[in-house]
Amino acid sequence: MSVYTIERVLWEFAGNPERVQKFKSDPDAYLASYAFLEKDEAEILKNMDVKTMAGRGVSTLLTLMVWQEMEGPQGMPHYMMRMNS
Amino acid sequence: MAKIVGGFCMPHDPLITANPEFADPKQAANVMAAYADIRRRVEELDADTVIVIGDDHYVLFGPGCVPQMLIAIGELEGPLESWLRIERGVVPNHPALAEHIMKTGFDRGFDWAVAKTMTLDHSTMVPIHLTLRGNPKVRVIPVYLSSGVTPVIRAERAFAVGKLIREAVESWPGDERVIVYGTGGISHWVGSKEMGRVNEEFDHRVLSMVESGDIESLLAMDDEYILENGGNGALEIRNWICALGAMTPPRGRVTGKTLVYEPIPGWVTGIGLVELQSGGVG
Repeated sequence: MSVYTIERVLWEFAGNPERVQKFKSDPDAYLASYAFLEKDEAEILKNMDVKTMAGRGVSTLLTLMVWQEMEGPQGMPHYMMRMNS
Repeated sequence: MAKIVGGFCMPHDPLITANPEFADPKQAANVMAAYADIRRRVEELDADTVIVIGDDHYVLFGPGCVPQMLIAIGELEGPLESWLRIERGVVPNHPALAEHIMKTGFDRGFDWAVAKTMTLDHSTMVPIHLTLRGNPKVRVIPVYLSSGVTPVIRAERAFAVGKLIREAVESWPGDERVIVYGTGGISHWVGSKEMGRVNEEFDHRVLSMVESGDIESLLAMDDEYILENGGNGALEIRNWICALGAMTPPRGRVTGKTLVYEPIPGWVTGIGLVELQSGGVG
């Protein structure tokens, strides 16, 4: 388990729309470059399962920031739905 | 000799500038009036330097480096975030005094992380924008404590950093008149399922401790208690505690006067602004 690598993946999306685009177009290929990421963690990231991330101890400052990076400010209701699902 | 002439605690909630419309208009007006009070007080106190204590929110520093305490000694600009509705620009700095605080820390066992240049985030830029921009006299020294991202700085250490800042300012041979800002919201849950909750009871408890200068009780609030009652965002009251340390004279005490308190779910935060006062000898 590598909560810290999940945080690294998320943090490297911040302010970097090119990385976000690469991830969205081929998430498996994108995440393959992170050596310490385990299979279930890659799934959590692919699904942007912020609730599970938070449950594992990933910073919710980071999940919130990256969600907005990916979805824009209008994505907040969806974020809260996902967090409370 | 340089001296600390004032101190304030205030939020740095990015929604205050980014989405003012999310708050009840009357509450928002009360908060903005208190920021205006601080702007006026900074002028009245004839301050020329403001040390702004903020914290990263995983905006500035990534998981590759989480500094417990950082001082910026060189050129400043900000804000980093484009969505704050704050125009990005240069922030006047005070490299000589900043380096003196850095070196005094090294002499006393405070191994600062150091930013030789820095683009400031909302945690320092919101207070700078609302209370200092347009004041031609004031230069800024930013300090960042790890009170948002884990591992979080210990409360006792935050207080000690504040005392160190006071010692450093008072040993500076210039005649600077320095103000200290401790920034951050009181109760707020950031990004978690409780986001939007505000715990007024917790907020009033914190404000009461600050008003009476009850440092012992502030330091006694451990992480678990704060997370349960104030949310992950409330850990940044360690920035306030640092400012309280800077406002505590060697043989005196600090007290506070609340300028405004507003619980604002739309801004996802218990919003408090306080003026600190040093009393006693020293």
